[in-house]
Amino acid sequence: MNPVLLLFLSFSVLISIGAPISVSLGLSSLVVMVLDPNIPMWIAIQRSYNAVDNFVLLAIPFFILSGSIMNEGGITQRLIKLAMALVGHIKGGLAHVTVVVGMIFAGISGSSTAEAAALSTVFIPPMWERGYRKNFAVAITACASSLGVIIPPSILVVIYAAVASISVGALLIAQALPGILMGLSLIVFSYGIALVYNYPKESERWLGLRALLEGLKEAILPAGVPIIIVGGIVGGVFTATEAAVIATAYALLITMGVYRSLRFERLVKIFAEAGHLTAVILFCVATASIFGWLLAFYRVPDQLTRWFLHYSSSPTVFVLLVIVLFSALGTFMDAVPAIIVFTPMILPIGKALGVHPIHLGAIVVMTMAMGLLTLPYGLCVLIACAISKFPVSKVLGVLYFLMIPIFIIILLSAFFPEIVLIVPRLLVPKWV
Amino acid sequence: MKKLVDRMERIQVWITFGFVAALTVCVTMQVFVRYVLQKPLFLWSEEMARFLLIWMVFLGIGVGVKNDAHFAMDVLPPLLGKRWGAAVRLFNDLCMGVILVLLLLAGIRFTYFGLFQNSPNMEVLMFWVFASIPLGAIVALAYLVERMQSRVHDMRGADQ
Repeated sequence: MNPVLLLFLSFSVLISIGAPISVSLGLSSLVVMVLDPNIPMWIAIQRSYNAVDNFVLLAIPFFILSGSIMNEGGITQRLIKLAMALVGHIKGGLAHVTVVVGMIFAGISGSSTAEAAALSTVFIPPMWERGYRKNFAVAITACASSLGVIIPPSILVVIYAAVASISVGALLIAQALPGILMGLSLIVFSYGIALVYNYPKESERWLGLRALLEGLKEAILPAGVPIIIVGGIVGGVFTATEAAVIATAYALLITMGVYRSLRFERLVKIFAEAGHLTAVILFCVATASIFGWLLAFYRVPDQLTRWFLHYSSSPTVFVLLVIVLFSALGTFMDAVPAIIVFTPMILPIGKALGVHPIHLGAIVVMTMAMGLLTLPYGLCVLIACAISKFPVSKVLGVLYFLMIPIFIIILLSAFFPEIVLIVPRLLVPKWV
Repeated sequence: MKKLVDRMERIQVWITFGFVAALTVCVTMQVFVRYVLQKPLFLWSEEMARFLLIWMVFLGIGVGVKNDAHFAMDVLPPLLGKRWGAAVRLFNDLCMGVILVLLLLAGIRFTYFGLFQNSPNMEVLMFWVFASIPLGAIVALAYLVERMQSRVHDMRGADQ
């Protein structure tokens, strides 16, 4: 049997019966390695170890931690005032406040699931009380939290950059503009819905400069996290990993020293959770590296590239196909393994067609962020529904409507790479 | 067995906390020394951070096994009903077991070679780093055995 066929077949069978993806990757690779006498077995352990032995990946636990520590400090509450002063006076104010708080939270947390939990608890009940349709309140909260992995920091960016060996810092900064555009267009769409259903404003007129300054004062300490991360990377003060650790140390200082809202037992729990999640992610990275090595050994990426070039040599067509592929993966697979497994296969095609690696990375990460909203496996939606005790089946219509702006930004970024590349080209020209 | 595993997890929570805390201190210090003290970079701090990460990852695999936290597509087992669902899950656990046993065996060999190799900056024996692999595999196997026991229990329970 063709080893490549055997590899994919055994991998597909294992994941479809529900074996962990890390195990499916490792076991299917080992079956092929045992059968092929040309491959020394020690490659497996060596590859796995080398994949984990990477300073870049160390950013993962800390991009999770900066968000969860600040969450203990009740940042969601602290950001509301500022958001109210910005968008509270528009029709459907509370929905826009949710998106704005989501955007700022996204600048603090590198994971969307933590954000979905925080936003759902704080915003869904009051929206229901204020007479918003239940399904709309759940859907807009889920969409707002999906920005968590797009606006820097983002653990998906760290993983993609590590797998593709590109600059984490550049990819992080590249996501800022499309992420903000997504947030703003989400507000436009929810404003449209607010007009149709006549949702209330939170204040009759704009609260004024004074309220804005007061809101800023309250938000300035949490906002230190994105300033440290983006500012530190852009200014060349430190690497992305160092930025993640310093941001975590800063968050600790704020929540323990200033807010005094984090007890030691909680701290132990939060640290351990971030560490254990990192272990699961990196175990997947480790076994995927064996799988990836085998693919390269059998020249699968080369063949895929040749096959693709046979049909089309258009970078845009390729990027659109990448969006289709990762959208499909996003409906049933976690973003982390999807990126780890499929990135090595698309990279050489992108290279052959001259797609900018940062552009390709941003497209993949943004599409996988949208995957957090597509059912059956749309984590942000599932979390928002679980917390608000609202049936998933009833959100669908309005959810798909609210995904349109997100999808439009992804498509625009596909056709106009400048949307992604302009900020890093201006700020960190030597990395792009 | 359940009690033992629960206690193991409680201990591991503290161990992982220790690793993350040590990592925070280590990398913060690296930046501090470089910028605030204006001294040349400690070469060993980055290496130390990587080694701590490796230990944290390999020891943490087991906790993921216990809490069913490893990424999987859990679609088929719930559709199969209680008994066959548990059987398929048991098979999946078995696959994890195979991987862990191989990790243990390969890890032991790898660790052995670590006896003849020093790390480039701190010059510690790589043995101390590689040892995390077999040790982590053993810990994970302990969790796995307990979980498979409870699965068998589920299958029997479905019979009655």
